[in-house]
Parts: sequence; structure tokens; C-alpha cells
Amino acid sequence: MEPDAQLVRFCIRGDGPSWEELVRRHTRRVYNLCYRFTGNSAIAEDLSQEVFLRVYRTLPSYQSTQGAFATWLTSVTRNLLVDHYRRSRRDRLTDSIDSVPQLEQQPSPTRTPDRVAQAKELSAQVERGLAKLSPELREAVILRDLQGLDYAEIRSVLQVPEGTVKSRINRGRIELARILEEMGVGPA
Amino acid sequence: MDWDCTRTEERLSDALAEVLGSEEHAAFRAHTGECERCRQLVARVGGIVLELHELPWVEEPPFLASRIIALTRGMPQERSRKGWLAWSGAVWQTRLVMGLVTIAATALIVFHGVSAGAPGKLQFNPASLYHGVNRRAHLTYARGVKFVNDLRVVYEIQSRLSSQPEPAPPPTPEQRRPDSDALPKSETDPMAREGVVPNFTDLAVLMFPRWPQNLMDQTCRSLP
Repeated sequence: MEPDAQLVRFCIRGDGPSWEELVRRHTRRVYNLCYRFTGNSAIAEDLSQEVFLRVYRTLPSYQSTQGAFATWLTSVTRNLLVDHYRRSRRDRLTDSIDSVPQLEQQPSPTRTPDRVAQAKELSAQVERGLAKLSPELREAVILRDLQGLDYAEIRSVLQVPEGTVKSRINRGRIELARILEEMGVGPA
Repeated sequence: MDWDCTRTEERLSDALAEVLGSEEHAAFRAHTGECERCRQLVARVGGIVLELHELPWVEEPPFLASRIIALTRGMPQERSRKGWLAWSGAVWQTRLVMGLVTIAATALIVFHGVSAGAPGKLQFNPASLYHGVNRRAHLTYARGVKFVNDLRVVYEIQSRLSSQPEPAPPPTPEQRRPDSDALPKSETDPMAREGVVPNFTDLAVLMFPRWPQNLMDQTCRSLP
């Protein structure tokens, strides 16, 4: 399998199959980030398309020396999510905290029926809890605990010092635990 | 080492990741052993983090990748400017262009409107600048007028309009020079005819009656 940086170089030279490989390789990551952040599959789908359109246009500006392609892609996605958040801020401000839209059930990978049902339920509850976090705490928790980025990668994506990253993750986890407790959700 | 509930909250992620120093870890364990609230907090957050890590990734809608590929097909990419060309993008910024135009216009007015023969502070005196620009403008205008007057078409029109000479009586035989069958020079060479060649100073006075006399003389003298 070609490394991402190599595929990016081919893409810049106009190699279509390399771009297709990059898209197929990273669509799920981008979609998950968008979905976990927005809690809406239609919006997440639109945002994912927007992310890749932006990535395609600005691909020549990616420098492999500055970090992994996945980190750069996450950074682009995060910036677009922030833009989306600002655009829809007015709508959110008028919403009551209790009127968070019902999150949709998403299919999960192949598991036993019980486990699938539990995972679906937990996933929905966690997403409801995440939706109630402030955006900066939410993105930190999502990047760390759902996307699996390390502190240095998150620092690169969020453009904040590593201490701030750690603090946001810590506060986000505690706040999420409090919210889930209020919702009657406890650790298994 | 002192350890309280606030410190537990601050270092909770480090404690869960087991990256606390040995002394800190001991203090943390001692505090959570005594404080029920902190013990519950650690258990709750630890459980949530584990569940977050185990949450499966949601599957993207089918054909999302295909749709993205179709959308980007044939789409142009932004060209990256590398190396010494990287600065060229700034040239197209409006502010820079306006600044360059302003500087060029200022330089043109200042250095073109001042005579080179008068260095010193006087050159940058507003009155000198004004007189310099004024003089140059008049000179340019006068040269233009002269150029137009010198055009053959204009000259011929002027010459026909300025004098319609009476038909001369036929020359008497004694007036006729023996060696010439031709016309006199004044008739063959129109430039030699008196009153046909326009006097530029007179023309300028007629055209610009409000010009001061000294400026008129200066302007006419400076013409080639």
C-alpha cells in the first residue's frame, strides 16, 4: 500500500486513481469526525463532501514535512466544522438545551445482536452527551477518544499548546461523565 | 505531597493514563482511598473513556466516496507557489497595487516637475514645484501647437486663409529678367513669401492672450 504522502504527490501531478485511493482510504475518518461533531448524518455527509472538495483544491499546499496527511486532513475537517458551527450558531442559540435533535441510529460493524444493540444505545447516548458539551471540549474529546489522535496531533490540528489540549480533554471527559450521569447513563 | 479534590480533577486524565510520577501516584491513591466523591469521579470518567475507545466507527453512507470522486473529477487544483515565486501572490493584492501607483505618481510629479538645474531645498518648495509643473505643462502644450502648425495640411490651409493675393499684373518686358523663364523665387518657394510663414510668437499671443509676456517669451525661446 502506497503511503499517503506518495499518493498526494501523484495526485498533484494529476493522477486520478491516486486521488480515488486517498478518498476511499479517509472517507470514513472524515465522516465519523463530522458525524460525531454534528450528530446528524445528512449534515455530516454534506460536510464530508465539502472537506474533500477543499482538500482537493488545496492539495498542493500540503507539506509532508509538516506532519501526516491524516493529521492535515483532520485539521481541514476541524476548520470546516468550526465554520459550520459558526454559521449555525444562531440556530443553536435559539434551541433549548433539551431540544437537541434525536440522533440517528447508525449501522455498526458486524457484532453479535446483543452487542450491536448495546453499542447502538451507548453510541446514541454518548452522542447526545457530546452534543451538550461546549464545542472546544467536544472537539478535544472526539479527537482524542473517538478518533484516537495523540496529544501532539491534536495540538497540530487545534493550533493550541499541548497543555491546553490536555486541559480541554480532561475537562471534556469530566463534563461528559457528569452529563451522562444526569442522563442516567453509567459505565457498563 | 498534598492532594485535594481539585488536584484530582486537574490530573484525572494523567492518572487514568498512568503517567503520574510515583510520588504523585501515591498521593492520588491515598486521596481517592479516603474521598468518596473523587473515587466515584475516577470510576465514572474511567468507564466513560473506556467506552468511548470501544465505540465503533459509524459507517459512512454508501457511495459517499464515489460521489466525492465524481464531484472532484475535472476540478482544477490551486497552484502552489514555491520558492522565489512565493511572494508573487502579494503583487495582486489591491493595497499593494494602489500603493505602487501612488508612489509612481508622486515620483512623476516631484521629479518631472522640478528642473534639474536647481538643486537644493528650493526644489521641494511647493511654489517651485508648482511653477515647474506649470512651465512644463505650457511648454508641452506649445510644442503640441507648433507640431500641429508645422503639419503640411495645416500649413496649407493657414496659408490659403491668411492671404488671398491679388492676381499680379502681367510683368512688363523690362521687368522680366532675361535669364529666367521661371517664376520668381518668392512664388516658387512658399516659405520665402513674407507673411505666409506664421510667426509663432504672434500666433501664441493670439491664441493665449492671457499669458504673461515674460512666460510667453520664455516659452517661445525654449522651443527648438
